[in-house]
Amino acid sequence: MEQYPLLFAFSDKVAGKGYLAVVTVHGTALAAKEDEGWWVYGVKPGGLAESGVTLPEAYIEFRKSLLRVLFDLAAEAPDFYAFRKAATEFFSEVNEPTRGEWEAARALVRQGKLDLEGIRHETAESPRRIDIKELQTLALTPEDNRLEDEELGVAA
Amino acid sequence: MLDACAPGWTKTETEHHYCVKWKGRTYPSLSKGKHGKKAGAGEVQVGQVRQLVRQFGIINCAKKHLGVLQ
Repeated sequence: MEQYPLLFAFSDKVAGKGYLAVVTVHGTALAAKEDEGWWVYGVKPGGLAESGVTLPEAYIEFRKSLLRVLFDLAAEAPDFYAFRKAATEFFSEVNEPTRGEWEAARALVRQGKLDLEGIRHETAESPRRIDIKELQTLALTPEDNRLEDEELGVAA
Repeated sequence: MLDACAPGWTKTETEHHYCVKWKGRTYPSLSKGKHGKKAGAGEVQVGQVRQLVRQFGIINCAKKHLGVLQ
């Protein structure tokens, strides 16, 4: 089975009860080519996995699923601080067996024995984290509109 | 399988997923399959079950109950 160590990062907005939050995730995932197609398994956060016919499709489903978890947490949280706590806890749960496979795949990348065509190498030393900020909506202006950076790389 | 390998597990339904919890561990993204809103979704896929049992640390027990995890 082909397995690839991924690093990903994205930002998105999450609306809660009386607040709007910007959530930036710098996470880790393992991509695996299996009989039924591609799977992307979360390492940190570890509580999700999604599939697709191609790796880009699987990653897009993974990304959507992660965002939907954040939406679910926002729906349950009574306020921003409870949402931030719940989202941080969700992100912090590492899937240890999947992390072991991720480490093994990263070792192969570092030895030059494994690569994913078309996806750049990223250093795995960049910290994995989730940042959650509350937007002060009354202070927003159209100048705050921007395309959010999104990153996907092979850990090297 | 969860009754045998994760006794006391709980499942709650959110808008988008089933959230499964056991002994302080959480798998918040279990697909609702045909019951959910995702168009064309089948039942829970083996990859999600595989990830869930890994998240809960019950791989060896789960393999005894679900041959598809072998």
